Amino acid sequence: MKARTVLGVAIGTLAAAALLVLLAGASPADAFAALLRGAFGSKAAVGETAARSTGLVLTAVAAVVAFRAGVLNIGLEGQFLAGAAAAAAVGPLFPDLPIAARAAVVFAAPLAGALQAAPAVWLAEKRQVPPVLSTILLNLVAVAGVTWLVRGPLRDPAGDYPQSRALSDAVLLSPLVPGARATAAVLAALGLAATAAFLLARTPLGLALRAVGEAPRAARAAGLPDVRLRSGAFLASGALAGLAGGLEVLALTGRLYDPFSAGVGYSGIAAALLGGMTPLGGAASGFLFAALGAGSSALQRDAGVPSALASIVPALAVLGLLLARGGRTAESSR
Amino acid sequence: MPATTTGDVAALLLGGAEATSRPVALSPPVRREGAVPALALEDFSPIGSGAPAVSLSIAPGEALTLLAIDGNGADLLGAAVAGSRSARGGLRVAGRSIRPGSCLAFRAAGGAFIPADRRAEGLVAGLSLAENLFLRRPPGRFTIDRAALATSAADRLRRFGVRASGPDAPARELSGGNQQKLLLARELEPLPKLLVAIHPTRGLDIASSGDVRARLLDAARSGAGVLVVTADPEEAQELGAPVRVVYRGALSPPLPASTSLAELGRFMAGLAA
Repeated sequence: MKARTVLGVAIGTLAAAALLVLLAGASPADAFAALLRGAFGSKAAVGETAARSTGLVLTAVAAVVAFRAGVLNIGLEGQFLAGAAAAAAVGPLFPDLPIAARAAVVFAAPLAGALQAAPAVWLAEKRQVPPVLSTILLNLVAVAGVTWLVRGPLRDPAGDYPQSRALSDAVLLSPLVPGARATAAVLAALGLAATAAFLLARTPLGLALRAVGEAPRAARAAGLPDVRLRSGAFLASGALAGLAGGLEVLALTGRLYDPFSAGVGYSGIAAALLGGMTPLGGAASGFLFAALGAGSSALQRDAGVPSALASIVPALAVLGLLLARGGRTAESSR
Repeated sequence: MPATTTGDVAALLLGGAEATSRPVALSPPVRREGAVPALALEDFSPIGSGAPAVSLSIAPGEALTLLAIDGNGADLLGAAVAGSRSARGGLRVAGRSIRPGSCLAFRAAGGAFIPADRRAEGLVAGLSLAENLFLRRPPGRFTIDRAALATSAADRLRRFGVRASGPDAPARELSGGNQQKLLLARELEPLPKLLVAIHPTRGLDIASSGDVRARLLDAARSGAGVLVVTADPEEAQELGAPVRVVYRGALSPPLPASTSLAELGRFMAGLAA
């Protein structure tokens, strides 16, 4: 991706956002200042941004890992929910053994995410069903699954609401810095993003994955185990999204409820696109989306601009990028 | 701009002054008797082709040309040998019996493959030349040794005469002839037990074609079994290897490469008994 394209998209997005703020009857400068304050203005604000970025960074990396191996995994949302449900199921099992409970969550959540992806992997490799279709349908299954779980097997018998039993406070991850919501989960997410970047760029496995993603037939003819590589990347992608769901429960919510996710999985795909389908770019975009989310309440409170506007901005940026890139592809193929 | 004569254009197409004559007729490779065949097919047929099952064998150091008009199943047969199409029947590469339809097993037995469609099935256009050369085994144990990758790739590109800006250039920037040379550089080192090349010179200029043919025969001379599929009877003659014409999936008896074009043409059209 050319720097000029990125700059153009950034300027275009900012201009469009400023226009929307003007339409809402506020000053763009005030709105921008409020947004920045809300996202980075205090220890609590930075902590909020970091806490929100965990799921976005992990799902963005998950999208990149699958995409680079040639799999369009639209099922991150469902895999995220599967991970969260697994965390809510195993997290309360050891209320007095925080280490065991956390280990159980960190083990079970990625496993659940991978299992949620597994039917799509099988359908893709054995029945040539495009993952775009199967994963979207599996998302619907996962959403319904959460609805059922919190009213059925996982329902907290002590409460009136349809939600799961809470993890004990001793099990929940504690903030890295007192007074901020961010926990070690953020560091784990960033570490995994760096690991994925290293793996893709610098290892024989990464080279093989990129080859399979770029040119599946050529990779196969060259003797690479294409089915294993593609399936492995797909399952790893599901596991990363599942881990994101598990960490959401372990670090932030402490339990599963319905609806649990406001579309983190889909935002992760958008962040990966905006980040040029690289792990670090995706992580940076995920962080940006988190900052917009954290800043949006200040936007409403201080500048009188509807907070929904902050979620329009990333969508505009992704659309702008696709527009710019789509135009360039048409040009080069002419 | 100076005027270009038709003669200049012809010379350019032929690839420069040094290659304006026909490529030197290459002496046929020597057959080594008694060795385990590089390729042995027994009642082998690509699935879905409706072609009769064929049996043939190629010894190490031997080349065989399958000559056919497109659509007679010669390229299907070649691709099936390389595992890139499903097939049934007995398939042995360098003595190892392998399951048809598995590129992985074909490679593990020591097979190498130059596919007909080098853009879709040969190279990974978005990866660099160096990455394309070392897709399966890049230098380095756990991480890719990038310095070693660059130097060994540059060395190999030079020896195989690939003209490019450097080992880091993306493969899509190469011309057809250079793409094919890059593929040869990947497939011929280390020397395979069996090389299957389908339409290896299709769409190439004459100089590149001659170079590709010479490399194929070099591989045979060094001890590889070589199976070439072509639709060009002159190419079959120039290769100097025994020719078997494929007509509607069935093989003719082996014909010497010196067989006249008219006679080869009769076999290709199904007019020979």
